[in-house]
Amino acid sequence: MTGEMKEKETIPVELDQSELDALVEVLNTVKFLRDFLNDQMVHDIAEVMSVVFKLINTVASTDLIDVLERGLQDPNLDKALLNPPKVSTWGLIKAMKDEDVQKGMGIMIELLKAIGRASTD
Amino acid sequence: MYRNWEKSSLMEVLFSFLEGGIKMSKKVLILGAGLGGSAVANKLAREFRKEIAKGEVEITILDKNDVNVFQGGFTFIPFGLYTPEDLTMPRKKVISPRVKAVFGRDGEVKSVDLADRKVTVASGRSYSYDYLVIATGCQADVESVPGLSNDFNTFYTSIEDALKLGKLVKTFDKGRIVILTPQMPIPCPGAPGKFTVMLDAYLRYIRGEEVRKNVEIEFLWPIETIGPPAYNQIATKVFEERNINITRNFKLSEVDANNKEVVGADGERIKYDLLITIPPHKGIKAFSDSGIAVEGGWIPVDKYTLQYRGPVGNYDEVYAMGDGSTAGAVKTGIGAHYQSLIVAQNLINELHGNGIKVSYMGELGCPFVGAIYTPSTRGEAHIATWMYDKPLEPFKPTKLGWLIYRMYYYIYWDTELKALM
Repeated sequence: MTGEMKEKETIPVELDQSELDALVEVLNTVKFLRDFLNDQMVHDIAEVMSVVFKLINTVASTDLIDVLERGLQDPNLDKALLNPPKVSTWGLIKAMKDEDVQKGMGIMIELLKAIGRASTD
Repeated sequence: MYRNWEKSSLMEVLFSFLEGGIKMSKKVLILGAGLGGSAVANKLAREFRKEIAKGEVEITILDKNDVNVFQGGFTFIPFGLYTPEDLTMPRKKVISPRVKAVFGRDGEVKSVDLADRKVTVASGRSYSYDYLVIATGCQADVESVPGLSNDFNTFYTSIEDALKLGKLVKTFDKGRIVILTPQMPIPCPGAPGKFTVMLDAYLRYIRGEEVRKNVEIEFLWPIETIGPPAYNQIATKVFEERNINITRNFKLSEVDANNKEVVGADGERIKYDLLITIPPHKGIKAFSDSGIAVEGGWIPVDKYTLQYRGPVGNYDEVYAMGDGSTAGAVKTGIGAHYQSLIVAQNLINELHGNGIKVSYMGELGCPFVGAIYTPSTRGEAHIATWMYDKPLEPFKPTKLGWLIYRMYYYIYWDTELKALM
Protein backbone atom coordinates (compact mmCIF):
# COMPACT_ATOMS: atom_id res chain seq x y z
CA MET A 1 0.00 0.00 0.00
CA THR A 2 1.29 3.44 -0.87
CA GLY A 3 0.41 7.05 -0.13
CA GLU A 4 1.38 9.18 2.86
CA MET A 5 -1.44 10.42 5.06
CA LYS A 6 -1.23 13.27 7.54
CA GLU A 7 -2.31 12.80 11.17
CA LYS A 8 -5.73 14.35 11.77
CA GLU A 9 -5.72 17.44 13.97
CA THR A 10 -8.12 17.24 16.95
CA ILE A 11 -9.66 20.20 18.77
CA PRO A 12 -11.07 19.81 22.32
CA VAL A 13 -14.68 21.04 22.70
CA GLU A 14 -16.20 21.98 26.06
CA LEU A 15 -19.80 20.93 26.71
CA ASP A 16 -21.87 21.27 29.89
CA GLN A 17 -24.15 18.46 31.08
CA SER A 18 -27.33 19.79 29.45
CA GLU A 19 -25.60 20.26 26.09
CA LEU A 20 -24.17 16.77 26.38
CA ASP A 21 -27.64 15.40 27.19
CA ALA A 22 -29.08 17.11 24.10
CA LEU A 23 -26.27 15.77 21.96
CA VAL A 24 -26.83 12.23 23.24
CA GLU A 25 -30.54 12.60 22.50
CA VAL A 26 -29.84 13.72 18.94
CA LEU A 27 -27.41 10.84 18.45
CA ASN A 28 -29.95 8.35 19.84
CA THR A 29 -32.57 9.68 17.41
CA VAL A 30 -30.18 9.41 14.48
CA LYS A 31 -29.24 5.89 15.61
CA PHE A 32 -32.89 4.92 15.83
CA LEU A 33 -33.56 6.24 12.31
CA ARG A 34 -30.43 4.57 10.98
CA ASP A 35 -31.40 1.20 12.44
CA PHE A 36 -35.05 1.55 11.47
CA LEU A 37 -34.51 2.32 7.78
CA ASN A 38 -33.69 -0.31 5.21
CA ASP A 39 -33.13 -0.32 1.42
CA GLN A 40 -36.80 -0.76 0.55
CA MET A 41 -37.89 2.08 2.84
CA VAL A 42 -35.27 4.34 1.29
CA HIS A 43 -36.65 3.48 -2.15
CA ASP A 44 -40.19 4.36 -1.08
CA ILE A 45 -39.11 7.60 0.65
CA ALA A 46 -37.15 8.55 -2.47
CA GLU A 47 -40.26 8.17 -4.63
CA VAL A 48 -42.10 10.65 -2.44
CA MET A 49 -39.09 12.98 -2.39
CA SER A 50 -38.97 12.91 -6.20
CA VAL A 51 -42.48 14.33 -6.31
CA VAL A 52 -41.43 17.07 -3.87
CA PHE A 53 -38.41 17.89 -6.06
CA LYS A 54 -40.68 18.10 -9.11
CA LEU A 55 -42.83 20.61 -7.24
CA ILE A 56 -39.74 22.58 -6.20
CA ASN A 57 -38.55 22.66 -9.81
CA THR A 58 -41.99 23.73 -10.99
CA VAL A 59 -42.16 26.58 -8.50
CA ALA A 60 -38.56 27.63 -9.13
CA SER A 61 -38.91 27.57 -12.90
CA THR A 62 -41.87 29.82 -13.62
CA ASP A 63 -42.68 33.52 -13.42
CA LEU A 64 -46.27 32.54 -12.73
CA ILE A 65 -45.23 32.28 -9.07
CA ASP A 66 -44.12 35.95 -9.14
CA VAL A 67 -47.43 36.89 -10.78
CA LEU A 68 -49.37 34.90 -8.18
CA GLU A 69 -47.28 36.40 -5.38
CA ARG A 70 -48.27 39.91 -6.43
CA GLY A 71 -51.79 39.00 -7.54
CA LEU A 72 -52.68 37.28 -4.29
CA GLN A 73 -51.66 40.43 -2.35
CA ASP A 74 -53.79 42.76 -4.49
CA PRO A 75 -55.76 45.14 -2.19
CA ASN A 76 -58.88 44.70 -4.37
CA LEU A 77 -58.68 40.94 -3.82
CA ASP A 78 -58.34 41.59 -0.05
CA LYS A 79 -61.49 43.70 -0.20
CA ALA A 80 -63.34 41.01 -2.23
CA LEU A 81 -62.36 38.37 0.32
CA LEU A 82 -63.84 40.51 3.12
CA ASN A 83 -67.15 40.73 1.29
CA PRO A 84 -67.24 38.41 -1.75
CA PRO A 85 -69.24 40.04 -4.55
CA LYS A 86 -71.94 37.94 -6.21
CA VAL A 87 -71.33 37.82 -9.96
CA SER A 88 -74.16 36.89 -12.35
CA THR A 89 -73.74 35.63 -15.92
CA TRP A 90 -74.29 39.19 -17.11
CA GLY A 91 -71.71 40.38 -14.56
CA LEU A 92 -69.28 37.83 -15.95
CA ILE A 93 -69.83 39.07 -19.49
CA LYS A 94 -69.33 42.66 -18.32
CA ALA A 95 -66.15 41.69 -16.44
CA MET A 96 -64.75 40.21 -19.64
CA LYS A 97 -64.59 43.73 -21.06
CA ASP A 98 -62.07 44.62 -18.33
CA GLU A 99 -58.51 44.60 -19.66
CA ASP A 100 -57.06 42.94 -16.53
CA VAL A 101 -59.66 40.15 -16.72
CA GLN A 102 -58.80 39.68 -20.39
CA LYS A 103 -55.09 39.39 -19.53
CA GLY A 104 -55.84 36.91 -16.75
CA MET A 105 -57.97 34.85 -19.11
CA GLY A 106 -55.20 34.95 -21.69
CA ILE A 107 -52.80 33.46 -19.15
CA MET A 108 -55.34 30.82 -18.09
CA ILE A 109 -56.01 29.80 -21.70
CA GLU A 110 -52.28 29.49 -22.42
CA LEU A 111 -51.93 27.47 -19.20
CA LEU A 112 -54.71 25.15 -20.35
CA LYS A 113 -53.04 24.74 -23.74
CA ALA A 114 -49.66 24.02 -22.10
CA ILE A 115 -51.22 21.41 -19.79
CA GLY A 116 -52.87 19.82 -22.81
CA ARG A 117 -49.59 19.72 -24.73
CA ALA A 118 -47.66 18.32 -21.74
CA SER A 119 -50.27 15.61 -21.17
CA THR A 120 -49.93 14.32 -24.71
CA ASP A 121 -46.11 14.49 -24.85
CA MET B 1 -38.34 28.09 -36.05
CA TYR B 2 -35.64 25.45 -36.28
CA ARG B 3 -34.72 26.98 -39.63
CA ASN B 4 -32.73 29.50 -37.58
CA TRP B 5 -30.39 26.66 -36.70
CA GLU B 6 -29.64 25.50 -40.16
CA LYS B 7 -27.02 26.94 -42.41
CA SER B 8 -28.29 30.27 -43.57
CA SER B 9 -29.66 30.53 -47.06
CA LEU B 10 -31.59 33.25 -48.80
CA MET B 11 -34.83 31.25 -48.60
CA GLU B 12 -34.38 30.65 -44.87
CA VAL B 13 -33.73 34.31 -44.18
CA LEU B 14 -36.86 35.13 -46.19
CA PHE B 15 -38.92 32.56 -44.24
CA SER B 16 -37.59 33.90 -40.98
CA PHE B 17 -38.47 37.45 -42.01
CA LEU B 18 -42.00 36.42 -43.02
CA GLU B 19 -42.45 34.64 -39.69
CA GLY B 20 -42.02 37.83 -37.75
CA GLY B 21 -38.78 39.51 -38.54
CA ILE B 22 -35.15 38.52 -37.99
CA LYS B 23 -34.24 38.17 -34.32
CA MET B 24 -30.61 38.10 -33.30
CA SER B 25 -30.88 35.46 -30.59
CA LYS B 26 -27.89 34.13 -28.69
CA LYS B 27 -27.52 30.45 -29.42
CA VAL B 28 -26.24 27.96 -26.86
CA LEU B 29 -25.61 24.53 -28.33
CA ILE B 30 -25.08 21.58 -26.00
CA LEU B 31 -23.66 18.31 -27.29
CA GLY B 32 -24.74 15.35 -25.18
CA ALA B 33 -27.86 15.02 -23.02
CA GLY B 34 -26.35 13.02 -20.18
CA LEU B 35 -25.96 14.30 -16.64
CA GLY B 36 -23.77 17.32 -17.47
CA GLY B 37 -25.52 18.43 -20.66
CA SER B 38 -29.01 18.09 -19.19
CA ALA B 39 -28.06 19.98 -16.04
CA VAL B 40 -26.57 22.87 -18.05
CA ALA B 41 -29.63 22.98 -20.35
CA ASN B 42 -32.11 22.95 -17.47
CA LYS B 43 -30.25 25.57 -15.44
CA LEU B 44 -30.03 27.90 -18.45
CA ALA B 45 -33.68 27.28 -19.34
CA ARG B 46 -34.71 28.24 -15.81
CA GLU B 47 -32.54 31.37 -15.79
CA PHE B 48 -33.41 32.62 -19.28
CA ARG B 49 -37.09 31.73 -19.47
CA LYS B 50 -38.07 35.32 -20.31
CA GLU B 51 -35.34 35.68 -22.93
CA ILE B 52 -36.28 32.32 -24.48
CA ALA B 53 -39.93 33.41 -24.66
CA LYS B 54 -38.87 36.66 -26.35
CA GLY B 55 -36.63 34.81 -28.80
CA GLU B 56 -33.46 36.44 -27.45
CA VAL B 57 -31.85 33.20 -26.27
CA GLU B 58 -32.06 29.73 -27.82
CA ILE B 59 -30.84 26.61 -26.09
CA THR B 60 -30.48 23.44 -28.13
CA ILE B 61 -29.29 20.06 -26.91
CA LEU B 62 -28.24 17.24 -29.23
CA ASP B 63 -28.00 13.53 -28.50
CA LYS B 64 -28.38 10.44 -30.62
CA ASN B 65 -30.48 8.69 -27.94
CA ASP B 66 -33.80 9.91 -26.56
CA VAL B 67 -33.49 7.85 -23.35
CA ASN B 68 -31.18 8.80 -20.50
CA VAL B 69 -29.38 5.84 -18.93
CA PHE B 70 -27.78 6.31 -15.51
CA GLN B 71 -24.47 4.51 -15.99
CA GLY B 72 -23.46 4.84 -12.35
CA GLY B 73 -26.11 2.30 -11.42
CA PHE B 74 -24.81 -0.46 -13.71
CA THR B 75 -22.48 -1.66 -10.91
CA PHE B 76 -25.49 -2.63 -8.79
CA ILE B 77 -27.54 -4.38 -11.49
CA PRO B 78 -25.85 -7.83 -11.28
CA PHE B 79 -26.90 -8.03 -7.63
CA GLY B 80 -30.48 -6.86 -8.21
CA LEU B 81 -30.01 -3.66 -6.20
CA TYR B 82 -31.44 -1.47 -8.97
CA THR B 83 -33.70 -2.39 -11.86
CA PRO B 84 -33.42 -1.26 -15.50
CA GLU B 85 -36.53 0.87 -14.84
CA ASP B 86 -34.72 2.66 -11.98
CA LEU B 87 -31.85 3.59 -14.29
CA THR B 88 -33.61 4.78 -17.44
CA MET B 89 -35.74 7.83 -18.17
CA PRO B 90 -37.07 9.33 -21.43
CA ARG B 91 -35.05 12.49 -21.99
CA LYS B 92 -38.11 14.62 -22.73
CA LYS B 93 -39.20 14.00 -19.14
CA VAL B 94 -36.05 15.47 -17.65
CA ILE B 95 -35.19 18.26 -20.11
CA SER B 96 -37.19 21.48 -19.88
CA PRO B 97 -39.60 22.05 -22.81
CA ARG B 98 -37.93 25.46 -23.15
CA VAL B 99 -34.91 23.63 -24.55
CA LYS B 100 -34.92 22.49 -28.18
CA ALA B 101 -34.02 18.82 -27.75
CA VAL B 102 -32.96 17.00 -30.90
CA PHE B 103 -32.44 13.23 -30.90
CA GLY B 104 -31.65 10.51 -33.43
CA ARG B 105 -29.55 11.18 -36.54
CA ASP B 106 -30.29 14.89 -36.25
CA GLY B 107 -28.68 14.80 -32.79
CA GLU B 108 -25.72 12.52 -33.50
CA VAL B 109 -22.60 14.67 -33.80
CA LYS B 110 -20.31 13.87 -36.71
CA SER B 111 -18.00 16.86 -36.86
CA VAL B 112 -17.20 20.07 -35.03
CA ASP B 113 -15.63 23.13 -36.60
CA LEU B 114 -14.63 25.50 -33.81
CA ALA B 115 -13.31 28.18 -36.17
CA ASP B 116 -16.60 28.38 -38.08
CA ARG B 117 -18.72 27.70 -34.98
CA LYS B 118 -20.49 24.87 -36.74
CA VAL B 119 -21.54 21.36 -35.67
CA THR B 120 -22.62 18.80 -38.28
CA VAL B 121 -24.72 15.75 -37.41
CA ALA B 122 -25.30 12.31 -38.96
CA SER B 123 -28.29 13.44 -41.04
CA GLY B 124 -26.13 16.09 -42.71
CA ARG B 125 -27.82 18.98 -40.93
CA SER B 126 -25.60 21.60 -39.33
CA TYR B 127 -26.01 23.87 -36.34
CA SER B 128 -24.35 27.19 -35.65
CA TYR B 129 -23.76 28.56 -32.14
CA ASP B 130 -22.56 31.46 -30.08
CA TYR B 131 -21.63 29.19 -27.17
CA LEU B 132 -20.87 25.48 -27.36
CA VAL B 133 -20.92 22.98 -24.49
CA ILE B 134 -19.36 19.57 -25.12
CA ALA B 135 -20.72 16.98 -22.69
CA THR B 136 -20.83 13.79 -24.70
CA GLY B 137 -19.04 11.50 -22.24
CA CYS B 138 -16.81 8.69 -23.45
CA GLN B 139 -17.16 5.20 -24.85
CA ALA B 140 -15.78 1.72 -24.21
CA ASP B 141 -12.98 0.53 -26.44
CA VAL B 142 -13.14 -3.27 -26.15
CA GLU B 143 -11.27 -3.88 -29.39
CA SER B 144 -8.14 -2.15 -28.10
CA VAL B 145 -7.37 -5.15 -25.87
CA PRO B 146 -6.26 -8.16 -27.93
CA GLY B 147 -8.55 -11.15 -27.33
CA LEU B 148 -10.92 -9.34 -24.96
CA SER B 149 -13.95 -9.49 -27.25
CA ASN B 150 -13.68 -13.33 -27.21
CA ASP B 151 -14.58 -13.42 -23.51
CA PHE B 152 -16.08 -10.08 -22.59
CA ASN B 153 -18.24 -9.94 -19.47
CA THR B 154 -18.81 -6.57 -17.87
CA PHE B 155 -21.16 -4.38 -15.88
CA TYR B 156 -19.69 -1.23 -17.45
CA THR B 157 -21.15 -0.83 -20.90
CA SER B 158 -24.93 -1.29 -20.75
CA ILE B 159 -27.84 -2.48 -18.65
CA GLU B 160 -28.08 -5.56 -20.89
CA ASP B 161 -24.43 -6.46 -20.25
CA ALA B 162 -24.89 -5.92 -16.51
CA LEU B 163 -27.98 -8.19 -16.49
CA LYS B 164 -26.06 -10.84 -18.44
CA LEU B 165 -23.24 -10.67 -15.89
CA GLY B 166 -25.82 -10.97 -13.10
CA LYS B 167 -26.93 -14.33 -14.53
CA LEU B 168 -23.31 -15.56 -14.58
CA VAL B 169 -22.72 -14.45 -10.99
CA LYS B 170 -25.93 -16.12 -9.81
CA THR B 171 -24.81 -19.53 -11.03
CA PHE B 172 -21.06 -19.35 -10.43
CA ASP B 173 -20.29 -21.95 -7.73
CA LYS B 174 -16.60 -22.72 -7.82
CA GLY B 175 -13.35 -21.41 -9.23
CA ARG B 176 -11.59 -18.12 -9.77
CA ILE B 177 -13.23 -14.84 -10.70
CA VAL B 178 -10.80 -12.29 -12.12
CA ILE B 179 -11.85 -8.63 -12.14
CA LEU B 180 -9.64 -6.95 -14.68
CA THR B 181 -9.08 -3.24 -15.26
CA PRO B 182 -6.55 -2.99 -18.10
CA GLN B 183 -5.88 0.75 -18.09
CA MET B 184 -6.80 4.23 -16.93
CA PRO B 185 -8.56 6.55 -17.41
CA ILE B 186 -11.99 5.00 -17.01
CA PRO B 187 -15.21 6.67 -15.94
CA CYS B 188 -16.02 6.13 -12.27
CA PRO B 189 -12.70 4.48 -11.29
CA GLY B 190 -14.19 3.56 -7.90
CA ALA B 191 -16.71 1.22 -9.56
CA PRO B 192 -14.40 -1.80 -10.05
CA GLY B 193 -13.59 -1.83 -6.32
CA LYS B 194 -17.24 -1.26 -5.35
CA PHE B 195 -18.31 -4.10 -7.61
CA THR B 196 -15.72 -6.42 -6.10
CA VAL B 197 -16.83 -5.73 -2.53
CA MET B 198 -20.46 -6.24 -3.54
CA LEU B 199 -19.58 -9.45 -5.36
CA ASP B 200 -17.89 -10.79 -2.23
CA ALA B 201 -20.93 -9.92 -0.08
CA TYR B 202 -23.31 -11.38 -2.64
CA LEU B 203 -21.44 -14.69 -2.80
CA ARG B 204 -20.86 -14.82 0.96
CA TYR B 205 -24.21 -13.74 2.37
CA ILE B 206 -26.79 -14.16 -0.41
CA ARG B 207 -25.46 -17.28 -2.13
CA GLY B 208 -24.00 -18.62 1.14
CA GLU B 209 -20.65 -18.96 2.90
CA GLU B 210 -20.02 -22.35 1.26
CA VAL B 211 -20.11 -20.80 -2.20
CA ARG B 212 -17.74 -18.02 -1.16
CA LYS B 213 -15.27 -20.58 0.25
CA ASN B 214 -15.11 -22.21 -3.17
CA VAL B 215 -14.58 -18.96 -5.07
CA GLU B 216 -11.31 -17.09 -5.33
CA ILE B 217 -11.57 -13.38 -6.23
CA GLU B 218 -8.61 -11.74 -7.94
CA PHE B 219 -8.54 -7.98 -8.56
CA LEU B 220 -6.11 -6.90 -11.27
CA TRP B 221 -5.45 -3.16 -11.11
CA PRO B 222 -3.33 -1.19 -13.62
CA ILE B 223 -1.79 1.35 -11.22
CA GLU B 224 -0.41 1.38 -7.67
CA THR B 225 -3.25 2.92 -5.66
CA ILE B 226 -6.99 2.37 -5.69
CA GLY B 227 -7.97 6.04 -5.64
CA PRO B 228 -6.37 8.73 -3.45
CA PRO B 229 -4.36 7.61 -0.36
CA ALA B 230 -7.32 7.65 2.07
CA TYR B 231 -9.50 5.73 -0.41
CA ASN B 232 -6.70 3.28 -1.11
CA GLN B 233 -6.19 2.72 2.61
CA ILE B 234 -9.80 1.73 3.32
CA ALA B 235 -10.17 -0.25 0.07
CA THR B 236 -7.01 -2.24 0.85
CA LYS B 237 -8.22 -2.95 4.39
CA VAL B 238 -11.66 -4.13 3.22
CA PHE B 239 -10.18 -6.28 0.43
CA GLU B 240 -7.80 -7.94 2.90
CA GLU B 241 -10.59 -8.61 5.41
CA ARG B 242 -12.74 -10.19 2.67
CA ASN B 243 -9.96 -12.36 1.28
CA ILE B 244 -9.83 -10.58 -2.09
CA ASN B 245 -6.42 -10.74 -3.77
CA ILE B 246 -5.11 -7.50 -5.27
CA THR B 247 -2.45 -7.37 -7.96
CA ARG B 248 -1.36 -3.75 -8.43
CA ASN B 249 0.42 -2.27 -11.46
CA PHE B 250 -0.83 -5.12 -13.61
CA LYS B 251 -0.02 -4.36 -17.24
CA LEU B 252 -2.17 -6.39 -19.59
CA SER B 253 -0.91 -7.81 -22.84
CA GLU B 254 -3.89 -9.89 -23.99
CA VAL B 255 -6.80 -12.10 -23.02
CA ASP B 256 -6.34 -15.72 -24.06
CA ALA B 257 -9.96 -16.85 -24.10
CA ASN B 258 -9.18 -20.36 -25.40
CA ASN B 259 -7.06 -21.18 -22.36
CA LYS B 260 -9.05 -18.89 -20.05
CA GLU B 261 -5.97 -16.88 -19.12
CA VAL B 262 -5.13 -13.22 -18.74
CA VAL B 263 -1.63 -12.53 -20.05
CA GLY B 264 0.47 -9.76 -18.50
CA ALA B 265 3.01 -7.62 -20.36
CA ASP B 266 5.80 -9.56 -18.61
CA GLY B 267 4.40 -12.87 -19.87
CA GLU B 268 2.72 -13.80 -16.58
CA ARG B 269 -0.39 -15.89 -17.19
CA ILE B 270 -3.29 -15.72 -14.74
CA LYS B 271 -5.99 -18.40 -14.94
CA TYR B 272 -9.62 -17.54 -14.60
CA ASP B 273 -12.98 -19.30 -14.65
CA LEU B 274 -14.98 -16.10 -14.96
CA LEU B 275 -13.41 -12.94 -16.33
CA ILE B 276 -15.08 -9.61 -15.58
CA THR B 277 -13.47 -6.70 -17.40
CA ILE B 278 -13.71 -2.96 -17.11
CA PRO B 279 -12.83 -2.03 -20.70
CA PRO B 280 -10.52 0.84 -21.66
CA HIS B 281 -12.38 4.01 -22.64
CA LYS B 282 -11.80 6.74 -25.17
CA GLY B 283 -13.40 9.99 -26.26
CA ILE B 284 -15.99 10.32 -29.03
CA LYS B 285 -14.63 9.57 -32.51
CA ALA B 286 -16.23 12.65 -34.08
CA PHE B 287 -13.97 14.89 -31.98
CA SER B 288 -10.78 13.04 -32.93
CA ASP B 289 -11.88 13.13 -36.57
CA SER B 290 -12.47 16.88 -36.26
CA GLY B 291 -8.99 17.39 -34.85
CA ILE B 292 -10.20 19.10 -31.67
CA ALA B 293 -9.28 16.29 -29.23
CA VAL B 294 -5.99 15.20 -27.73
CA GLU B 295 -4.72 11.61 -27.62
CA GLY B 296 -7.43 9.25 -26.44
CA GLY B 297 -10.13 11.48 -27.91
CA TRP B 298 -10.39 13.67 -24.79
CA ILE B 299 -11.39 17.33 -25.13
CA PRO B 300 -8.73 19.49 -23.45
CA VAL B 301 -9.90 22.31 -21.20
CA ASP B 302 -8.54 24.80 -18.70
CA LYS B 303 -8.90 22.92 -15.40
CA TYR B 304 -10.57 25.90 -13.69
CA THR B 305 -12.65 27.66 -16.36
CA LEU B 306 -13.45 24.47 -18.34
CA GLN B 307 -12.98 26.47 -21.55
CA TYR B 308 -11.48 24.78 -24.58
CA ARG B 309 -7.68 24.88 -24.76
CA GLY B 310 -6.67 22.44 -27.45
CA PRO B 311 -4.81 21.53 -30.60
CA VAL B 312 -6.82 23.95 -32.77
CA GLY B 313 -6.34 26.88 -30.42
CA ASN B 314 -8.10 28.46 -27.48
CA TYR B 315 -11.85 29.06 -27.70
CA ASP B 316 -13.42 30.89 -24.77
CA GLU B 317 -16.95 30.32 -26.10
CA VAL B 318 -16.46 26.55 -26.01
CA TYR B 319 -16.79 24.62 -22.76
CA ALA B 320 -16.23 20.90 -22.19
CA MET B 321 -16.98 18.86 -19.12
CA GLY B 322 -17.56 15.39 -17.74
CA ASP B 323 -16.09 12.05 -18.79
CA GLY B 324 -15.15 13.18 -22.30
CA SER B 325 -12.99 16.11 -21.18
CA THR B 326 -9.71 16.50 -19.35
CA ALA B 327 -11.44 18.36 -16.49
CA GLY B 328 -11.08 17.00 -12.97
CA ALA B 329 -8.57 14.65 -11.42
CA VAL B 330 -10.71 11.59 -12.24
CA LYS B 331 -13.85 11.02 -14.27
CA THR B 332 -16.88 10.74 -11.99
CA GLY B 333 -20.55 11.62 -12.27
CA ILE B 334 -20.33 13.75 -9.16
CA GLY B 335 -17.43 15.68 -10.73
CA ALA B 336 -19.45 16.18 -13.93
CA HIS B 337 -22.30 17.53 -11.83
CA TYR B 338 -20.07 20.14 -10.16
CA GLN B 339 -18.60 21.06 -13.55
CA SER B 340 -22.04 21.47 -15.12
CA LEU B 341 -23.02 24.03 -12.47
CA ILE B 342 -19.86 26.05 -13.19
CA VAL B 343 -20.30 25.89 -16.97
CA ALA B 344 -23.95 26.93 -16.66
CA GLN B 345 -23.11 29.80 -14.29
CA ASN B 346 -20.37 31.10 -16.58
CA LEU B 347 -22.77 30.97 -19.54
CA ILE B 348 -25.35 32.85 -17.47
CA ASN B 349 -22.73 35.46 -16.61
CA GLU B 350 -21.62 35.71 -20.25
CA LEU B 351 -25.17 36.13 -21.54
CA HIS B 352 -25.90 38.76 -18.91
CA GLY B 353 -22.59 40.38 -19.80
CA ASN B 354 -21.67 41.03 -16.16
CA GLY B 355 -18.01 40.09 -16.62
CA ILE B 356 -17.96 37.71 -13.64
CA LYS B 357 -16.28 34.31 -13.90
CA VAL B 358 -16.62 31.37 -11.54
CA SER B 359 -14.15 28.50 -11.38
CA TYR B 360 -14.33 24.75 -11.01
CA MET B 361 -12.22 23.91 -7.97
CA GLY B 362 -11.87 20.23 -8.79
CA GLU B 363 -14.75 19.07 -6.60
CA LEU B 364 -15.55 15.43 -7.21
CA GLY B 365 -16.86 12.42 -5.41
CA CYS B 366 -16.30 8.72 -5.58
CA PRO B 367 -18.60 6.57 -3.43
CA PHE B 368 -17.04 3.69 -1.51
CA VAL B 369 -19.09 0.65 -0.56
CA GLY B 370 -18.00 -1.40 2.43
CA ALA B 371 -20.97 -3.77 2.49
CA ILE B 372 -24.36 -4.27 0.85
CA TYR B 373 -27.62 -4.86 2.70
CA THR B 374 -27.95 -8.60 3.35
CA PRO B 375 -29.37 -10.74 6.17
CA SER B 376 -25.92 -10.54 7.79
CA THR B 377 -24.74 -7.02 6.89
CA ARG B 378 -26.53 -3.72 7.19
CA GLY B 379 -24.97 -1.96 4.21
CA GLU B 380 -22.10 0.51 4.58
CA ALA B 381 -20.94 3.27 2.27
CA HIS B 382 -19.35 6.67 2.15
CA ILE B 383 -19.42 9.29 -0.59
CA ALA B 384 -15.76 10.32 -0.58
CA THR B 385 -15.19 13.85 -1.87
CA TRP B 386 -12.08 15.90 -2.55
CA MET B 387 -10.84 18.87 -4.60
CA TYR B 388 -7.81 19.86 -6.66
CA ASP B 389 -5.77 21.01 -3.68
CA LYS B 390 -7.76 19.54 -0.81
CA PRO B 391 -7.06 15.83 -0.51
CA LEU B 392 -9.58 13.27 0.60
CA GLU B 393 -9.60 12.85 4.38
CA PRO B 394 -9.66 9.41 6.05
CA PHE B 395 -13.20 8.08 6.30
CA LYS B 396 -15.22 5.10 7.46
CA PRO B 397 -18.21 3.74 5.52
CA THR B 398 -21.43 3.90 7.53
CA LYS B 399 -24.99 2.65 7.29
CA LEU B 400 -26.35 6.18 6.92
CA GLY B 401 -23.86 6.65 4.10
CA TRP B 402 -25.24 3.52 2.46
CA LEU B 403 -28.85 4.72 2.77
CA ILE B 404 -27.98 8.14 1.32
CA TYR B 405 -26.07 6.52 -1.52
CA ARG B 406 -29.00 4.19 -2.30
CA MET B 407 -31.38 7.15 -2.27
CA TYR B 408 -29.15 9.21 -4.57
CA TYR B 409 -29.88 6.94 -7.55
CA TYR B 410 -33.63 7.35 -7.13
CA ILE B 411 -33.70 11.14 -6.74
CA TYR B 412 -30.99 11.75 -9.38
CA TRP B 413 -33.55 12.45 -12.13
CA ASP B 414 -35.28 15.23 -10.22
CA THR B 415 -32.26 16.80 -8.55
CA GLU B 416 -28.99 16.53 -10.46
CA LEU B 417 -30.36 16.43 -14.01
CA LYS B 418 -32.51 19.45 -13.26
CA ALA B 419 -29.60 21.24 -11.55
CA LEU B 420 -31.63 21.72 -8.38
CA MET B 421 -28.66 20.85 -6.13
